[in-house]
Amino acid sequence: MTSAQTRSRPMPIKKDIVSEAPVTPVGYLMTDSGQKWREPVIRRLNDLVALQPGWDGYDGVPVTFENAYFVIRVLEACCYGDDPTPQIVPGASGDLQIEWHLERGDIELHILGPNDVHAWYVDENTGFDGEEVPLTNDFNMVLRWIRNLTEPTRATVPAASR
Amino acid sequence: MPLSQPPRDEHGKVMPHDHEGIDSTNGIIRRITDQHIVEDAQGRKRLSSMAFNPSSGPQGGMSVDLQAQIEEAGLNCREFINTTTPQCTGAVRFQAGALRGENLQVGFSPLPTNPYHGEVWGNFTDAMKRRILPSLASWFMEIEGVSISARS
Repeated sequence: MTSAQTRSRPMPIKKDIVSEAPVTPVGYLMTDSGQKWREPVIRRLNDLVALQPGWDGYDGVPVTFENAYFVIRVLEACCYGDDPTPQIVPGASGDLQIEWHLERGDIELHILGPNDVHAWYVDENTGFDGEEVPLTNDFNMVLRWIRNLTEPTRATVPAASR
Repeated sequence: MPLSQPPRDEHGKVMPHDHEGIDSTNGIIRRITDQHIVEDAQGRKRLSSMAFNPSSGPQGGMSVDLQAQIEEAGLNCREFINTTTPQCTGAVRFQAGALRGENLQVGFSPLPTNPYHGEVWGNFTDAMKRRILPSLASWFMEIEGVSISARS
C-alpha cells in the first residue's frame, strides 16, 4: 500500500488517545456521553482524514491524523458538553479549521499542526476584523470566547484578556 | 501567447513571482468544493475563509486556474474545470489586477495534470482571507444558495 493510499484509508479516530504534548485542561472533565459535540466531530474528522488527494481540485491532501487527534484535544480543553458543535473545514496541506458561527460572533481555529494554532475571534466588541491570537497548548482564551458567545446571562469577558 | 516559464528553485519548484504575461484584466479562477461551505448562525450557507487559504510552507500559494490561458488554448473554461475535477462544486473569479492591488502576486505554475495552473502569493492575513478576497471574488460557477462572504 502506498503512503497516499494509507493516508487516505478511512480509520476511526480513537476516543482514548493520550497526547504526548498535553493540552492544558480547563473546564470540566467530561465523559463521552456528556459531550454532544464529540460524535459528530469524530464523524467529520473521519471523513476529512479519508479525503482523496486532489480533493480541492488542485493538490490538496487529506487532513493528517495528527491534526485530527489534536482537534479532539483542543475541543476537550475548551468545550463544555452541551456547547455547539463546531464546523470543521479542511485545508490543502493536511491542516484544518474549527469554526463556530453563532448569533453573537464567530470563532475560527486554524490548526496548522499540533500545538500550532492561529485563533480568530469576532463579536460586536472587536470590530469586523476581529482579534487574532497564536496559540499552542493553552486554550483558556478559546474557552472564554465560547462562553462569551453562548451564555446570554453572563457579562461579556473582554476578548483581549491574556 | 503562451506564458513564459516561471522561475524555479534548484529543486525545480516554482518560486513566488508576479508573471508579466498575466494581464491585469485576466480572470483568475479559484475552484470551490462542498468542503469549503459552512453555515452561519442563521443557517445560511457561505464559503469558509479556508476557501481562500494558501498551501502551507514558505512558498505556498493559493492555487488557481488562469482563465485567459485556458481560453487561448481553445477550451471552454467552465468545461475544463468540470472535466478535470469532478470534485469541483463551483468556482469563483478574481481579476488579476484586483489581486495585485492588494499586494498579491499572480503567477504561472504549470502542473503535469494542469498546464493552466497558477498561484497567488502574498501575505494572507486573516483580513485578507475573511474580508478582502471574498469581496474581490464573484461567482464563476455559482453554487446555488451559497454566498461568497459573510457580508454578501
